[in-house]
Amino acid sequence: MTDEKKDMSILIVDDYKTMLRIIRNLLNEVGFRNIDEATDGVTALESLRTRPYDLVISDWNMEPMTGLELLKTVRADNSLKKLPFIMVTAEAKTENVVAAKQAGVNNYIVKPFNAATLRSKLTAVIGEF
Amino acid sequence: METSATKTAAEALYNEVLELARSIVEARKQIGSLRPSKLKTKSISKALLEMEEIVKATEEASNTIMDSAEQMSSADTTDPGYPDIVQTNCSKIFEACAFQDLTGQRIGSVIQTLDLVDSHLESLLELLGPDFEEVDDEEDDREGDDMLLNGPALEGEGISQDDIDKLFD
Repeated sequence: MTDEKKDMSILIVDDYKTMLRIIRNLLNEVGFRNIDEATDGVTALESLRTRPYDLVISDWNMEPMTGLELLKTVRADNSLKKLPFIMVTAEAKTENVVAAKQAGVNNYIVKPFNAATLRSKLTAVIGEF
Repeated sequence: METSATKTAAEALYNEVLELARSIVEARKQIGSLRPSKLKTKSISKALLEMEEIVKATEEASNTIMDSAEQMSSADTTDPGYPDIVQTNCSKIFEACAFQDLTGQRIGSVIQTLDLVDSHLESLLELLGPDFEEVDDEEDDREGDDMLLNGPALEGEGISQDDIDKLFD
């Protein structure tokens, strides 16, 4: 992995700390080392407006702001609208994927997932690493 | 002056009211025999506590397993103590997996409660009779994107990762 990719700032958002830990470990395993965490959409948005990030990996079902609301807010914000955004969620109905896609998600991973799936979606969104 | 016809009608009405009162008393007795307060205070309260314990136990086990996995993956493989680190952490992972036995028993207890509730509801429906009309007042009042939140799909519901990927091709 190139240093440029290793240094990418990634924000992972999930209300389950265990899931944050799983995603962080998987990202560490493939070489990413600049990872921040948030436990809901509101906190994530605060972080995104505080410092620059290169990628968001977010759960959907969270309070007080869901992952879909976070995605829509990001896409409506001129300074954030091009930020790559991957949804990682247990919501696995076609209408969920369609709604996320219409809102501008770059990729969609359904839980439970494995390291290979996360890796392939990362490659699809940020390119080879 | 009371006519014979009026008297007959009054008696008929009286008998109907009496029959209705008897039905109500009988229904109350039968509902009482279902012991709804015991079901609520004992069985359902216990099932809720069991569910809380299940959530707690699975969380603790996940954390223990991840602690051990992190310690092994970050350990220096050239360290002479490395085999001991692996052995110790593997033992911790095996121990943590014991949660499955306990949570399995707790889930069994919750299933028993649900079976009990199911049989009580069945008895209640029998008691109410075939002409009982249900009032549907539990409509999903969610709106917009909230309607998309349904949690993990059951087997056979939802779409696979492969199907999702096709939507992004």
